[in-house]
Amino acid sequence: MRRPDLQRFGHTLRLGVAANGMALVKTSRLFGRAPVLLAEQRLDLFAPDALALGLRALFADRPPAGWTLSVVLADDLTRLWQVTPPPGATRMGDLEGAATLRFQHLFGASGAEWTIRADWDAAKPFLAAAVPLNLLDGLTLAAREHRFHLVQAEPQLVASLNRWRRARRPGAWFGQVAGGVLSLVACDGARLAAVRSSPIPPGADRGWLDAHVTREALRVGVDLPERLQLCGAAPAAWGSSVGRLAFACSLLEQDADDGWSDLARLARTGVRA
Amino acid sequence: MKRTRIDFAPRSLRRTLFRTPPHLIFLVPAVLLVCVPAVLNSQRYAEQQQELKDLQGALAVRSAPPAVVVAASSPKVALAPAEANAINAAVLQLNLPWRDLGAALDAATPPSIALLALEPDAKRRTVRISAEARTSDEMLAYITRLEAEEWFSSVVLVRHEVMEQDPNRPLRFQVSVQWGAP
Repeated sequence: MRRPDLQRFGHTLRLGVAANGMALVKTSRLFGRAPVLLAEQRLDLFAPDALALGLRALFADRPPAGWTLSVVLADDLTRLWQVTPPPGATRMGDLEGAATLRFQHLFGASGAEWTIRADWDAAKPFLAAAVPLNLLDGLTLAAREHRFHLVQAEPQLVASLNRWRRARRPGAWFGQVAGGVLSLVACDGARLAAVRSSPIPPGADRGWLDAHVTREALRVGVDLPERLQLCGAAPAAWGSSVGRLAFACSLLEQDADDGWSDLARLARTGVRA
Repeated sequence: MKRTRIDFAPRSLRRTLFRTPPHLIFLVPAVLLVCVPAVLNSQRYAEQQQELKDLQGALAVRSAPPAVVVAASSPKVALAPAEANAINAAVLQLNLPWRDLGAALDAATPPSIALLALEPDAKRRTVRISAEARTSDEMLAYITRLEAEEWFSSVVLVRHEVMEQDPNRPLRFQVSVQWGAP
Protein backbone atom coordinates (compact mmCIF):
# COMPACT_ATOMS: atom_id res chain seq x y z
CA MET A 1 0.00 0.00 0.00
CA ARG A 2 1.34 3.41 -0.95
CA ARG A 3 1.93 5.65 2.03
CA PRO A 4 0.49 9.17 1.83
CA ASP A 5 3.05 11.86 1.12
CA LEU A 6 2.72 14.31 4.01
CA GLN A 7 4.83 16.84 2.11
CA ARG A 8 1.95 17.31 -0.29
CA PHE A 9 -0.61 17.97 2.43
CA GLY A 10 -1.75 21.59 2.19
CA HIS A 11 0.68 22.35 -0.64
CA THR A 12 0.33 22.76 -4.34
CA LEU A 13 2.63 23.38 -7.28
CA ARG A 14 2.25 26.35 -9.55
CA LEU A 15 3.67 26.37 -13.02
CA GLY A 16 4.20 29.61 -14.85
CA VAL A 17 4.26 29.27 -18.61
CA ALA A 18 5.48 32.12 -20.79
CA ALA A 19 6.76 32.39 -24.33
CA ASN A 20 10.35 32.53 -23.08
CA GLY A 21 10.32 29.88 -20.39
CA MET A 22 8.67 28.20 -17.43
CA ALA A 23 9.01 28.28 -13.67
CA LEU A 24 7.85 25.95 -10.94
CA VAL A 25 6.85 27.22 -7.51
CA LYS A 26 5.64 25.37 -4.42
CA THR A 27 2.95 27.19 -2.48
CA SER A 28 1.22 26.52 0.80
CA ARG A 29 -2.54 26.79 0.65
CA LEU A 30 -3.16 25.87 4.24
CA PHE A 31 -0.42 27.24 6.43
CA GLY A 32 0.26 30.61 4.76
CA ARG A 33 3.93 29.93 4.15
CA ALA A 34 5.77 31.94 1.54
CA PRO A 35 6.02 30.36 -1.93
CA VAL A 36 9.27 28.61 -2.80
CA LEU A 37 10.83 28.67 -6.25
CA LEU A 38 11.71 25.10 -7.21
CA ALA A 39 12.97 25.40 -10.76
CA GLU A 40 13.11 27.65 -13.76
CA GLN A 41 13.59 26.73 -17.39
CA ARG A 42 14.33 29.16 -20.19
CA LEU A 43 13.14 28.07 -23.63
CA ASP A 44 11.36 29.16 -26.77
CA LEU A 45 7.82 27.90 -26.32
CA PHE A 46 7.08 28.14 -30.02
CA ALA A 47 9.81 25.64 -30.92
CA PRO A 48 8.58 22.10 -31.75
CA ASP A 49 7.83 20.02 -28.64
CA ALA A 50 9.14 22.84 -26.49
CA LEU A 51 6.45 22.44 -23.83
CA ALA A 52 6.97 18.69 -23.37
CA LEU A 53 10.77 18.97 -23.35
CA GLY A 54 10.73 21.94 -21.02
CA LEU A 55 8.44 20.19 -18.56
CA ARG A 56 10.62 17.06 -18.57
CA ALA A 57 13.64 19.20 -17.77
CA LEU A 58 11.69 21.08 -15.10
CA PHE A 59 10.47 17.89 -13.41
CA ALA A 60 13.73 15.95 -13.82
CA ASP A 61 14.82 16.44 -10.22
CA ARG A 62 11.40 16.55 -8.58
CA PRO A 63 8.75 14.31 -10.12
CA PRO A 64 5.35 15.91 -9.60
CA ALA A 65 3.45 12.60 -9.47
CA GLY A 66 0.42 12.90 -7.20
CA TRP A 67 0.71 16.65 -6.74
CA THR A 68 -1.97 19.13 -7.66
CA LEU A 69 -0.68 21.66 -10.14
CA SER A 70 -1.98 25.08 -11.16
CA VAL A 71 -0.84 26.68 -14.35
CA VAL A 72 -0.54 30.41 -14.84
CA LEU A 73 -0.34 31.39 -18.50
CA ALA A 74 1.42 34.58 -19.44
CA ASP A 75 -0.94 37.09 -20.95
CA ASP A 76 0.98 37.14 -24.24
CA LEU A 77 -0.01 33.48 -24.74
CA THR A 78 -3.67 34.19 -24.22
CA ARG A 79 -6.32 36.56 -25.47
CA LEU A 80 -8.46 38.58 -23.07
CA TRP A 81 -11.40 40.72 -23.99
CA GLN A 82 -14.63 42.19 -22.77
CA VAL A 83 -17.96 40.88 -24.01
CA THR A 84 -21.26 42.70 -23.77
CA PRO A 85 -24.08 40.15 -23.57
CA PRO A 86 -26.62 40.49 -26.38
CA PRO A 87 -29.90 42.08 -25.28
CA GLY A 88 -32.44 39.46 -24.25
CA ALA A 89 -29.84 36.69 -24.00
CA THR A 90 -31.49 33.78 -22.25
CA ARG A 91 -29.32 30.80 -23.15
CA MET A 92 -25.70 29.94 -22.65
CA GLY A 93 -25.39 29.59 -26.42
CA ASP A 94 -26.25 33.29 -26.86
CA LEU A 95 -23.36 34.29 -24.59
CA GLU A 96 -20.95 31.83 -26.21
CA GLY A 97 -21.90 33.12 -29.65
CA ALA A 98 -21.39 36.71 -28.58
CA ALA A 99 -17.97 35.88 -27.09
CA THR A 100 -16.85 34.05 -30.25
CA LEU A 101 -18.03 36.84 -32.55
CA ARG A 102 -16.26 39.43 -30.43
CA PHE A 103 -13.09 37.31 -30.44
CA GLN A 104 -13.15 37.11 -34.23
CA HIS A 105 -13.82 40.83 -34.51
CA LEU A 106 -11.00 41.82 -32.15
CA PHE A 107 -8.29 39.33 -33.09
CA GLY A 108 -9.22 38.43 -36.63
CA ALA A 109 -8.93 34.69 -36.04
CA SER A 110 -11.55 32.00 -36.05
CA GLY A 111 -12.20 30.36 -32.71
CA ALA A 112 -11.46 26.88 -34.07
CA GLU A 113 -7.90 26.71 -32.75
CA TRP A 114 -8.66 28.36 -29.45
CA THR A 115 -10.51 27.38 -26.34
CA ILE A 116 -12.71 30.14 -25.02
CA ARG A 117 -13.78 30.46 -21.42
CA ALA A 118 -15.47 33.40 -19.76
CA ASP A 119 -16.91 34.67 -16.53
CA TRP A 120 -20.33 34.31 -18.11
CA ASP A 121 -22.93 36.90 -17.16
CA ALA A 122 -26.18 37.49 -19.02
CA ALA A 123 -26.89 40.83 -17.37
CA LYS A 124 -23.67 42.85 -17.63
CA PRO A 125 -20.39 42.89 -19.58
CA PHE A 126 -18.02 40.10 -18.62
CA LEU A 127 -14.43 39.08 -19.15
CA ALA A 128 -13.58 36.35 -21.66
CA ALA A 129 -10.30 34.58 -22.34
CA ALA A 130 -8.96 32.30 -25.05
CA VAL A 131 -6.01 29.91 -24.96
CA PRO A 132 -4.54 28.02 -27.97
CA LEU A 133 -5.83 24.46 -28.16
CA ASN A 134 -2.37 22.97 -28.67
CA LEU A 135 -1.12 24.60 -25.48
CA LEU A 136 -3.96 23.09 -23.44
CA ASP A 137 -3.50 19.72 -25.12
CA GLY A 138 0.21 19.84 -24.28
CA LEU A 139 -0.59 20.52 -20.64
CA THR A 140 -3.15 17.70 -20.51
CA LEU A 141 -0.65 15.26 -22.05
CA ALA A 142 2.02 16.39 -19.61
CA ALA A 143 -0.36 15.80 -16.70
CA ARG A 144 -0.83 12.23 -17.95
CA GLU A 145 2.87 11.69 -18.53
CA HIS A 146 4.05 13.09 -15.21
CA ARG A 147 0.92 11.92 -13.30
CA PHE A 148 0.08 15.24 -11.66
CA HIS A 149 -3.43 16.63 -11.23
CA LEU A 150 -4.06 19.66 -13.39
CA VAL A 151 -6.53 21.58 -11.23
CA GLN A 152 -6.25 25.09 -12.58
CA ALA A 153 -5.13 26.83 -15.74
CA GLU A 154 -5.73 30.54 -15.98
CA PRO A 155 -4.29 33.63 -17.62
CA GLN A 156 -2.04 35.72 -15.43
CA LEU A 157 -4.39 38.71 -15.44
CA VAL A 158 -7.27 36.51 -14.19
CA ALA A 159 -5.02 35.17 -11.42
CA SER A 160 -4.13 38.74 -10.43
CA LEU A 161 -7.76 39.86 -10.48
CA ASN A 162 -8.70 37.04 -8.14
CA ARG A 163 -5.67 37.58 -5.93
CA TRP A 164 -6.49 41.26 -5.37
CA ARG A 165 -10.27 41.16 -5.59
CA ARG A 166 -10.71 42.04 -1.92
CA ALA A 167 -8.35 45.01 -2.22
CA ARG A 168 -10.04 46.42 -5.29
CA ARG A 169 -12.17 49.51 -4.89
CA PRO A 170 -15.41 50.02 -6.77
CA GLY A 171 -14.93 52.17 -9.86
CA ALA A 172 -11.15 51.97 -9.76
CA TRP A 173 -9.24 50.63 -12.74
CA PHE A 174 -7.06 47.60 -12.22
CA GLY A 175 -3.69 47.11 -13.85
CA GLN A 176 -0.98 44.51 -13.98
CA VAL A 177 2.66 44.98 -14.87
CA ALA A 178 4.32 41.76 -16.05
CA GLY A 179 7.02 41.02 -18.59
CA GLY A 180 7.24 44.67 -19.63
CA VAL A 181 3.55 44.78 -20.49
CA LEU A 182 0.88 46.84 -18.76
CA SER A 183 -2.56 45.24 -18.82
CA LEU A 184 -5.42 47.49 -17.87
CA VAL A 185 -8.91 46.49 -16.81
CA ALA A 186 -10.95 49.60 -17.53
CA CYS A 187 -14.18 49.99 -15.62
CA ASP A 188 -17.10 52.34 -15.94
CA GLY A 189 -18.36 52.39 -12.38
CA ALA A 190 -18.93 48.75 -11.47
CA ARG A 191 -19.21 47.77 -15.13
CA LEU A 192 -16.33 46.17 -17.00
CA ALA A 193 -15.56 48.43 -19.96
CA ALA A 194 -12.46 46.95 -21.64
CA VAL A 195 -9.23 45.01 -21.23
CA ARG A 196 -6.19 46.59 -22.88
CA SER A 197 -2.54 45.55 -22.97
CA SER A 198 0.39 47.75 -24.01
CA PRO A 199 4.17 47.41 -23.83
CA ILE A 200 5.86 49.72 -21.34
CA PRO A 201 8.56 51.81 -22.99
CA PRO A 202 11.95 51.95 -21.23
CA GLY A 203 12.11 54.72 -18.64
CA ALA A 204 8.33 55.16 -18.51
CA ASP A 205 7.50 57.51 -15.65
CA ARG A 206 4.30 58.68 -14.01
CA GLY A 207 3.73 61.16 -16.82
CA TRP A 208 3.72 58.34 -19.35
CA LEU A 209 1.24 56.43 -17.18
CA ASP A 210 -1.07 59.46 -16.96
CA ALA A 211 -0.96 59.95 -20.69
CA HIS A 212 -1.47 56.28 -21.38
CA VAL A 213 -4.45 55.94 -19.08
CA THR A 214 -6.01 59.13 -20.46
CA ARG A 215 -5.55 57.82 -23.98
CA GLU A 216 -7.08 54.48 -23.13
CA ALA A 217 -10.06 56.13 -21.44
CA LEU A 218 -10.68 58.16 -24.58
CA ARG A 219 -10.29 55.10 -26.75
CA VAL A 220 -12.71 53.03 -24.68
CA GLY A 221 -15.08 55.95 -24.26
CA VAL A 222 -15.25 56.16 -20.49
CA ASP A 223 -14.31 58.76 -17.91
CA LEU A 224 -10.86 58.85 -16.39
CA PRO A 225 -10.76 56.74 -13.24
CA GLU A 226 -10.31 58.32 -9.86
CA ARG A 227 -7.84 55.60 -9.00
CA LEU A 228 -5.69 53.03 -10.71
CA GLN A 229 -4.67 49.97 -8.67
CA LEU A 230 -1.56 48.27 -10.00
CA CYS A 231 -0.14 44.88 -9.16
CA GLY A 232 3.06 43.25 -10.37
CA ALA A 233 6.48 44.79 -10.83
CA ALA A 234 5.30 48.37 -11.33
CA PRO A 235 7.88 51.16 -10.93
CA ALA A 236 7.64 52.70 -7.49
CA ALA A 237 7.54 56.17 -9.04
CA TRP A 238 4.09 55.42 -10.45
CA GLY A 239 2.51 55.23 -7.04
CA SER A 240 1.11 58.55 -5.87
CA SER A 241 -2.00 60.08 -4.47
CA VAL A 242 -4.17 62.35 -6.54
CA GLY A 243 -2.90 65.93 -6.60
CA ARG A 244 -1.94 67.78 -9.65
CA LEU A 245 -2.21 64.45 -11.46
CA ALA A 246 -5.38 63.19 -13.11
CA PHE A 247 -5.89 60.14 -10.89
CA ALA A 248 -4.39 58.35 -7.93
CA CYS A 249 -2.28 55.26 -8.48
CA SER A 250 -1.81 52.73 -5.73
CA LEU A 251 0.68 49.91 -5.95
CA LEU A 252 -0.73 46.71 -4.50
CA GLU A 253 2.69 45.01 -4.34
CA GLN A 254 5.15 47.22 -2.53
CA ASP A 255 7.99 44.72 -2.66
CA ALA A 256 8.01 44.49 -6.43
CA ASP A 257 11.79 44.34 -6.56
CA ASP A 258 12.23 41.26 -4.36
CA GLY A 259 14.69 39.40 -6.55
CA TRP A 260 12.19 37.07 -8.20
CA SER A 261 12.53 36.74 -11.95
CA ASP A 262 9.66 37.49 -14.31
CA LEU A 263 9.08 33.75 -14.81
CA ALA A 264 9.05 33.05 -11.08
CA ARG A 265 6.73 35.98 -10.50
CA LEU A 266 4.47 34.63 -13.22
CA ALA A 267 4.31 31.24 -11.49
CA ARG A 268 3.47 32.72 -8.10
CA THR A 269 0.83 35.13 -9.46
CA GLY A 270 -2.34 34.74 -7.46
CA VAL A 271 -0.54 33.62 -4.30
CA ARG A 272 0.20 35.73 -1.27
CA ALA A 273 3.93 36.45 -1.34
CA MET B 1 -15.29 42.35 -6.00
CA LYS B 2 -16.49 38.93 -7.01
CA ARG B 3 -14.17 36.18 -8.18
CA THR B 4 -13.52 35.94 -11.91
CA ARG B 5 -14.26 32.34 -12.79
CA ILE B 6 -12.17 31.58 -15.85
CA ASP B 7 -10.40 28.24 -15.75
CA PHE B 8 -9.10 26.12 -18.60
CA ALA B 9 -8.33 23.02 -16.51
CA PRO B 10 -10.45 19.96 -17.32
CA ARG B 11 -13.33 19.36 -14.95
CA SER B 12 -12.53 16.82 -12.25
CA LEU B 13 -13.15 16.01 -8.60
CA ARG B 14 -9.64 17.25 -7.81
CA ARG B 15 -10.44 20.58 -9.41
CA THR B 16 -13.62 20.89 -7.35
CA LEU B 17 -11.72 20.10 -4.15
CA PHE B 18 -9.02 22.56 -5.13
CA ARG B 19 -11.59 25.30 -5.58
CA THR B 20 -12.97 24.69 -2.11
CA PRO B 21 -11.51 27.35 0.20
CA PRO B 22 -8.61 25.65 2.04
CA HIS B 23 -9.42 27.20 5.40
CA LEU B 24 -12.62 25.13 5.43
CA ILE B 25 -10.47 22.16 6.48
CA PHE B 26 -10.16 23.80 9.90
CA LEU B 27 -13.93 23.57 10.19
CA VAL B 28 -13.81 19.79 9.83
CA PRO B 29 -13.24 19.13 13.58
CA ALA B 30 -16.10 21.50 14.43
CA VAL B 31 -18.35 19.83 11.89
CA LEU B 32 -17.42 16.40 13.26
CA LEU B 33 -18.00 17.69 16.78
CA VAL B 34 -21.53 18.62 15.82
CA CYS B 35 -22.34 15.83 13.40
CA VAL B 36 -21.10 12.79 15.30
CA PRO B 37 -23.21 13.44 18.45
CA ALA B 38 -26.12 14.39 16.19
CA VAL B 39 -25.89 11.06 14.35
CA LEU B 40 -25.51 9.11 17.59
CA ASN B 41 -28.44 10.96 19.18
CA SER B 42 -30.61 10.42 16.15
CA GLN B 43 -29.86 6.70 16.27
CA ARG B 44 -30.72 6.59 19.97
CA TYR B 45 -33.87 8.58 19.30
CA ALA B 46 -34.90 6.10 16.61
CA GLU B 47 -34.29 3.18 18.98
CA GLN B 48 -36.31 4.86 21.73
CA GLN B 49 -39.10 5.56 19.29
CA GLN B 50 -39.13 1.88 18.35
CA GLU B 51 -39.21 0.84 22.03
CA LEU B 52 -42.03 3.30 22.69
CA LYS B 53 -43.98 1.91 19.76
CA ASP B 54 -43.48 -1.64 21.03
CA LEU B 55 -44.63 -0.62 24.52
CA GLN B 56 -47.69 1.15 23.16
CA GLY B 57 -48.51 -1.91 21.12
CA ALA B 58 -48.21 -4.15 24.18
CA LEU B 59 -50.39 -1.79 26.24
CA ALA B 60 -53.01 -1.68 23.52
CA VAL B 61 -53.11 -5.46 23.44
CA ARG B 62 -53.43 -5.63 27.23
CA SER B 63 -56.19 -3.02 27.55
CA ALA B 64 -58.28 -4.32 24.65
CA PRO B 65 -61.54 -6.23 25.59
CA PRO B 66 -60.99 -9.98 25.63
CA ALA B 67 -61.67 -11.50 22.37
CA VAL B 68 -64.72 -13.69 22.21
CA VAL B 69 -63.42 -17.18 22.07
CA VAL B 70 -65.61 -19.19 19.88
CA ALA B 71 -65.48 -22.74 21.06
CA ALA B 72 -65.19 -25.24 18.39
CA SER B 73 -68.60 -26.62 18.00
CA SER B 74 -68.66 -30.29 18.59
CA PRO B 75 -70.37 -32.26 15.99
CA LYS B 76 -74.00 -32.68 16.82
CA VAL B 77 -75.17 -36.23 17.27
CA ALA B 78 -78.78 -36.85 16.49
CA LEU B 79 -80.37 -39.13 19.10
CA ALA B 80 -83.72 -40.86 19.08
CA PRO B 81 -86.02 -39.94 22.05
CA ALA B 82 -85.78 -43.51 23.40
CA GLU B 83 -82.01 -43.40 23.30
CA ALA B 84 -81.99 -39.97 24.94
CA ASN B 85 -84.27 -41.25 27.75
CA ALA B 86 -82.07 -44.28 28.26
CA ILE B 87 -78.97 -42.10 28.46
CA ASN B 88 -80.67 -39.74 30.90
CA ALA B 89 -81.77 -42.69 33.04
CA ALA B 90 -78.27 -44.09 33.05
CA VAL B 91 -76.87 -40.70 34.01
CA LEU B 92 -79.39 -40.40 36.86
CA GLN B 93 -78.51 -43.89 38.00
CA LEU B 94 -74.84 -43.04 37.92
CA ASN B 95 -75.58 -39.87 39.87
CA LEU B 96 -77.38 -41.85 42.62
CA PRO B 97 -76.07 -40.81 46.08
CA TRP B 98 -74.96 -44.29 47.03
CA ARG B 99 -72.68 -43.16 49.82
CA ASP B 100 -75.38 -41.16 51.66
CA LEU B 101 -77.98 -43.88 51.06
CA GLY B 102 -75.73 -46.57 52.39
CA ALA B 103 -74.76 -44.54 55.46
CA ALA B 104 -78.43 -43.82 56.31
CA LEU B 105 -79.42 -47.48 55.92
CA ASP B 106 -76.46 -48.66 58.02
CA ALA B 107 -77.40 -46.25 60.74
CA ALA B 108 -81.05 -47.31 60.73
CA THR B 109 -80.71 -51.10 60.34
CA PRO B 110 -80.30 -53.01 63.58
CA PRO B 111 -78.64 -56.49 63.65
CA SER B 112 -82.06 -58.20 64.04
CA ILE B 113 -83.13 -57.09 60.56
CA ALA B 114 -81.79 -59.00 57.60
CA LEU B 115 -81.60 -56.91 54.42
CA LEU B 116 -82.43 -59.00 51.39
CA ALA B 117 -82.49 -56.52 48.51
CA LEU B 118 -82.26 -52.84 47.64
CA GLU B 119 -83.94 -51.63 44.46
CA PRO B 120 -83.22 -47.90 43.96
CA ASP B 121 -85.26 -45.79 41.56
CA ALA B 122 -83.25 -42.67 40.85
CA LYS B 123 -85.96 -41.02 38.83
CA ARG B 124 -88.39 -41.06 41.74
CA ARG B 125 -85.63 -40.79 44.35
CA THR B 126 -86.98 -43.93 46.06
CA VAL B 127 -85.46 -47.19 47.14
CA ARG B 128 -87.43 -50.38 47.74
CA ILE B 129 -85.97 -52.34 50.65
CA SER B 130 -86.69 -56.06 51.03
CA ALA B 131 -85.85 -57.40 54.50
CA GLU B 132 -86.76 -60.09 57.06
CA ALA B 133 -87.49 -59.71 60.74
CA ARG B 134 -88.26 -62.31 63.42
CA THR B 135 -91.33 -60.44 64.65
CA SER B 136 -93.66 -57.73 63.56
CA ASP B 137 -92.46 -55.57 66.46
CA GLU B 138 -88.95 -55.63 65.09
CA MET B 139 -90.35 -54.77 61.66
CA LEU B 140 -92.24 -51.75 63.05
CA ALA B 141 -89.27 -50.68 65.14
CA TYR B 142 -87.18 -50.77 62.00
CA ILE B 143 -89.72 -48.66 60.08
CA THR B 144 -89.75 -46.20 62.94
CA ARG B 145 -85.97 -45.93 62.89
CA LEU B 146 -86.05 -45.39 59.13
CA GLU B 147 -88.54 -42.57 59.58
CA ALA B 148 -86.29 -41.07 62.23
CA GLU B 149 -83.44 -40.77 59.72
CA GLU B 150 -83.28 -37.19 58.41
CA TRP B 151 -82.06 -38.29 55.06
CA PHE B 152 -85.35 -40.09 54.32
CA SER B 153 -88.44 -37.95 53.71
CA SER B 154 -91.09 -40.73 53.70
CA VAL B 155 -91.17 -44.40 54.57
CA VAL B 156 -94.06 -46.61 53.35
CA LEU B 157 -94.57 -50.30 54.20
CA VAL B 158 -95.53 -51.78 50.84
CA ARG B 159 -96.24 -55.39 51.84
CA HIS B 160 -95.34 -58.00 54.41
CA GLU B 161 -95.91 -61.77 54.85
CA VAL B 162 -94.87 -64.60 57.15
CA MET B 163 -92.68 -67.19 55.45
CA GLU B 164 -94.55 -70.35 56.46
CA GLN B 165 -92.24 -72.78 54.76
CA ASP B 166 -89.29 -71.49 56.77
CA PRO B 167 -89.02 -73.37 60.10
CA ASN B 168 -88.22 -70.03 61.89
CA ARG B 169 -91.24 -68.41 60.28
CA PRO B 170 -89.59 -65.01 59.63
CA LEU B 171 -91.58 -61.99 58.63
CA ARG B 172 -90.56 -60.81 55.16
CA PHE B 173 -91.51 -57.25 54.23
CA GLN B 174 -90.90 -54.53 51.68
CA VAL B 175 -90.52 -50.84 52.49
CA SER B 176 -90.45 -48.00 50.00
CA VAL B 177 -88.26 -45.17 51.20
CA GLN B 178 -87.93 -41.78 49.50
CA TRP B 179 -84.97 -39.55 50.15
CA GLY B 180 -85.05 -35.85 50.31
CA ALA B 181 -84.89 -33.42 47.45
CA PRO B 182 -81.34 -32.53 46.44
